[in-house]
Amino acid sequence: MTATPVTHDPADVHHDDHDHPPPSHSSSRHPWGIIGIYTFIISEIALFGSFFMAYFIIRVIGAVDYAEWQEAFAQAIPLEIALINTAILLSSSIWIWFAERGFKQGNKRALVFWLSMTILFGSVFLGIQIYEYAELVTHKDIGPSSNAFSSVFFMITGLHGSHVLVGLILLGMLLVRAVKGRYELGTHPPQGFMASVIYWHFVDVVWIVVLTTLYLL
Amino acid sequence: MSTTTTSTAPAARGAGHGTPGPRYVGGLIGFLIGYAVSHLLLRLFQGWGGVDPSYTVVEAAGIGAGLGPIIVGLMGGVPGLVAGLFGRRVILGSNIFAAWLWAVVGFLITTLIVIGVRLAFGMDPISLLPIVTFGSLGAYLGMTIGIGALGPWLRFLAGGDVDLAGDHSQHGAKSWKDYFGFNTDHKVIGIQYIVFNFMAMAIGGMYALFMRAELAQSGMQFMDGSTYNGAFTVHGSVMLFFWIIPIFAGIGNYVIPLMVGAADMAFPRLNGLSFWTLVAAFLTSVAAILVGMYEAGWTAYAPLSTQSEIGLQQLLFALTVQFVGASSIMTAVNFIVTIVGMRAPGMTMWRMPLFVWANLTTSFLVVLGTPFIGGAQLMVLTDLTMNTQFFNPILGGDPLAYQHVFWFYSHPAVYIMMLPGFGIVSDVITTHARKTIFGYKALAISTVAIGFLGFAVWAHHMFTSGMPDWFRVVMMFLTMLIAVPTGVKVLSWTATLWQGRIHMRTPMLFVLGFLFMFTVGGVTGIMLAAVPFTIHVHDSYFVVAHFHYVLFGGSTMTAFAGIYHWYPKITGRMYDERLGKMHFWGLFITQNLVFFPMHWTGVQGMVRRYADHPERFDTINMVMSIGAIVMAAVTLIFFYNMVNSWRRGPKATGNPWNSHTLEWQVSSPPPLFNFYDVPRVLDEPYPFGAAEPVHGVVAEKGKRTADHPILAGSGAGTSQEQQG
Repeated sequence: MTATPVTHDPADVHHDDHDHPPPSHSSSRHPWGIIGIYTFIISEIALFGSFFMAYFIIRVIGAVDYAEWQEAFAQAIPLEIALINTAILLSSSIWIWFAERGFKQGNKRALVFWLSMTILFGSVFLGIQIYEYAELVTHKDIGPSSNAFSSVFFMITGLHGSHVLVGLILLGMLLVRAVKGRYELGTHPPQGFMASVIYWHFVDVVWIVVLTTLYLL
Repeated sequence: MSTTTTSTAPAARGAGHGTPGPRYVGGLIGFLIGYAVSHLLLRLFQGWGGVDPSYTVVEAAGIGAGLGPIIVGLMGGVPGLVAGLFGRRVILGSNIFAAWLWAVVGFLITTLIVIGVRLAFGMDPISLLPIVTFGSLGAYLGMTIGIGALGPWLRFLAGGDVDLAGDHSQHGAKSWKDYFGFNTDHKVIGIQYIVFNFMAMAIGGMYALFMRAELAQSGMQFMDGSTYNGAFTVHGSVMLFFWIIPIFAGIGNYVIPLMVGAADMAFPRLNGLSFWTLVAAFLTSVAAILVGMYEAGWTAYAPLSTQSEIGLQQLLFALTVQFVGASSIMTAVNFIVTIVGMRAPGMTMWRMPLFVWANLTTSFLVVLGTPFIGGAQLMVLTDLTMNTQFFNPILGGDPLAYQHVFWFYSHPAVYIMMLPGFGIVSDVITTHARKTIFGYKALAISTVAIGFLGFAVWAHHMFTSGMPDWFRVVMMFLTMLIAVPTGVKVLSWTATLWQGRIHMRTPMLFVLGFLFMFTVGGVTGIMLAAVPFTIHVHDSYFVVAHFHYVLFGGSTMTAFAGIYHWYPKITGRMYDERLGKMHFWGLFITQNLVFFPMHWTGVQGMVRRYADHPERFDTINMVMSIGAIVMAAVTLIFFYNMVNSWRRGPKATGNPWNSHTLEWQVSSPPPLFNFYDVPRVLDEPYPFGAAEPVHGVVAEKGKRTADHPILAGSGAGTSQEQQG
């Protein structure tokens, strides 16, 4: 939809019912859907920001010793699991890049395969996350209500997990459309496709921040 | 879709499908079922929530015992009646009755799912708060499907062959009934917003009257403390969430696409969904009022709001905030993309009308800020439902964390409430003073500067909450700094008036009134920024006076100015100038009568949010209460003027104020898709006093913009010389 040339079909303009808009004009180099998704991502960053803000306030001036919690948490969840999980999620960003390339090259098989791989890796990530939760709750007796830090841990990872879930639903939608052949392959992908891809990359980037603040720092 | 359904429904009754007998029986049964179900649900939730079943807001207002449950019963009964009468046509159609029915269905389905999941995990299956949390999400989904907002999207999600951008089947209103359904036309949505917001304002105002009635004398008149808490909480949150913030979204919705020369907003369906999300938020809020009022103040500070005694109401309040926030963010994203991506050729950033500048800045504030109140209330929500410990100091939480996160939104929020008003003032003042705005760039840049600074001053709401001293000093300094860009604005507006030909029409009167009121509010704002002074008057009526001067004398007055200014454009009729002036003078005098004495009582020690006050404040409080009643009466003049002029007022021309911005260059009300061809912008937006003042040209019906005499003569249209 980049700067659609204003086509002047007099028949269009003279239409008396006026039941369709005038030819659209874009004042931006970027398609509207892409501006929209980036704007939306700004607000998503702010949403995560609100939880990180609470986290750091609790950590700096809260009454419970952070080092104590960190030790208990490290014993409960080996860091290796989180790192493997990170690798799984981040690699899915590469797979979706392959899918995008397949789209542009007009290769439907590559598009479908790499989209499926992305969804698979995203689902495995969620599965491991749920395993972590189950491990914490059932074996180590750490739940969302144990203390402020466990609340923060469950909320932030849960918030991120729900974003992964939304991303998976979006990618599943793309997959359905790709399989049904709704896309005109070999061209630049449409806005909806690109918006979902951007969203997925965003979910991955947020995970790096979550990993750094909650697991590493 | 909604058009056909709603408009054919009455016709079907006349056409006589089937015999009338069974249909009326069906209607009766539907009514009884709907009445009984909603009545039972109310009792059930009141019982679960531990609320005294007789305690509902209507009774608290003294209107009469038992009326509340009857209203709730009718809320179920009327849709049941309509569904019984018209059957499939309504249930499967896209209209408010279907929305209501599917909301109930969505609620029940999610409730069953929650109960099932809890059974599967071996938990107590019936738990009120999780059921309400997920149930309201299900109800929201059902409502949006029932209203017809999601149809094409759902088909698209399922892989259907849907042309989302080219679908105009739900665009435009053909009769008044279409205003009660889902629409993608920004003009229809704008009117829906504005009418809805005025209704909310009336409700919020009613609660203010309850408070003034209680405060008229010392001692307790007709409320208990808890009811009073509910009254100020409902007043505050309804006024902020459903009046001041969305009224500018409503005016912007109508005006912004016209101003930038676009046929609609960037995402019309999302735009409609924003409005209906706001309605969902309002209904959630009403539900909270009906099961017993939420009482923790509009700020809903933890740990007060996380106490389980008022858990159900606070949970519904938290959900209200989520819905309001979602609605605001969707609208803001839409505004940003519309303004960035849909400006007419030739409209550079420095040729945008100042209302567009204000809206762009506000939208960025919403996008960046609103998630913080969402996050804060999400923490309250999980504290209530999952027993998380964000604000419990014993287990490492910190109540101050709530205040920090909350005010990180809520201070920018005061600029979300104020900046669009500034934009309206700029547009109105230059038009009615017949003079180019003084300092266009200064006004635009100061708007953005206020937006930036707004994020750096949140802790000035917390000077008495316990903070390091150095932090208070930083916050005090930054807060006072905001007076600089604001002062630039007031100066520019005043300088615009200088040597202008001022037409004292109603919108101009409101703007002049705004200038006075806002300056007073701004000065008390500087006083409140000073830490030693704030420590003395914190949580006193001085603060109440300050923010009513800013929010009533500021925001609300500008909203009225905008409504009067664009009334001819929106309705195609002129309002009654005499009634408009009566409205202004009545409102101006009474608001000073009500709010000015609060400065004095506050400094003298009358405390905010108390249901009672010492006897020595009796006389002055009686004066304020009388002022409030007169103010309500004056507002009735406004409503009468609006409704009556819409029906009988003289027809308005396309450009009654001789303005130059694009929205005035089309007919009143504008054509279905605003413009017959993409307009062309040639020059700055306010070329008053120029020899041949032109901001932009639009095509007439059946013609092209390029055929316009101005463009046809001079080729591409070179800009003309201006004088200031």
